[in-house]
Amino acid sequence: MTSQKKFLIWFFLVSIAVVIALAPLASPLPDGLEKVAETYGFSGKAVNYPFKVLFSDYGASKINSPFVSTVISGIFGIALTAALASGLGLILNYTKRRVEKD
Amino acid sequence: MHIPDGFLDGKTIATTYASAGAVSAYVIKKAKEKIGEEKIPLLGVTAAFIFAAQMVNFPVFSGTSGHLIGGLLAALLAGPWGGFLIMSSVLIVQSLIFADGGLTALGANIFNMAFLGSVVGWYLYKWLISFIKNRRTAVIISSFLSVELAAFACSLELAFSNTAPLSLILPAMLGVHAIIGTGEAVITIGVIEAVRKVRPDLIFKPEGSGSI
Repeated sequence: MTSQKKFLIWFFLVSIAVVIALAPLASPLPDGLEKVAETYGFSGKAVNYPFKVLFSDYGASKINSPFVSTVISGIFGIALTAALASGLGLILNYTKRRVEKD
Repeated sequence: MHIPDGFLDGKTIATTYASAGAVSAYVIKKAKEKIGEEKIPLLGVTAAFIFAAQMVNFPVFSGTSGHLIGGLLAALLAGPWGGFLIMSSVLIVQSLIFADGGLTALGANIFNMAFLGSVVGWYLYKWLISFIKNRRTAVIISSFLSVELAAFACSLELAFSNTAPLSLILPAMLGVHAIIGTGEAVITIGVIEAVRKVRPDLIFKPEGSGSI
């Protein structure tokens, strides 16, 4: 059986491969909710995000190549998401130990 | 199904943020009991995968696309509480860094995709497996239904906000998400079967389910 560490590394590499090989091919068509909003005439109610985000529409505005732009924003996104989810796990475990100590 | 800013009114924003907050408080309590230190890397890596997979929109029909939500997939790997933490992390990063899903709609999006997707999806799976006795069928049905449930909740939130009448958007949302949910089921069972081949022990099992 693959060791846990090896499995996790592979799983992470698969995510990077998905960002490089599949994300640039993603369909630009509106998603289910966007389509329903267009059909029933309420898509215009959507307003801009309240502040300027780093990667609007999964792209880096200063990079001309859509492929590079998507891949960079995707890699940044998976790194940040992984950090946030494992960070939450770390905090929960840390506070649990603190409570046990007290 | 990420709701943008502008679709929800004040009372719906308050209600959905309060609901997501209440669920989060409960999940944090359960996660402290159930998620050991050894699961931390799995949370991170699964969240990375869900984020990556959500970038891949596949065309469905008549100028519409869809992508994996991954709530049940996350729960099958990290349990319902871990799944909720994973999905919430994905949704928070997508909103704050990518403006995918509004800031005022974050509570609703967490409720629909993290709570209904992971926690309710997981209990649906657990309930199905108790009488279907077939793991694969239970994964397929519950991943499909988790998407429909999220579409149902999303429709209610939009109707409650007076954005669109329920009689129009509910059938439309359930209809298009039946197809997107089929994609969800295909990807979920594919990934779960691939993981089972290399690490069968990593698939989170319902308590008392024996060898399933």
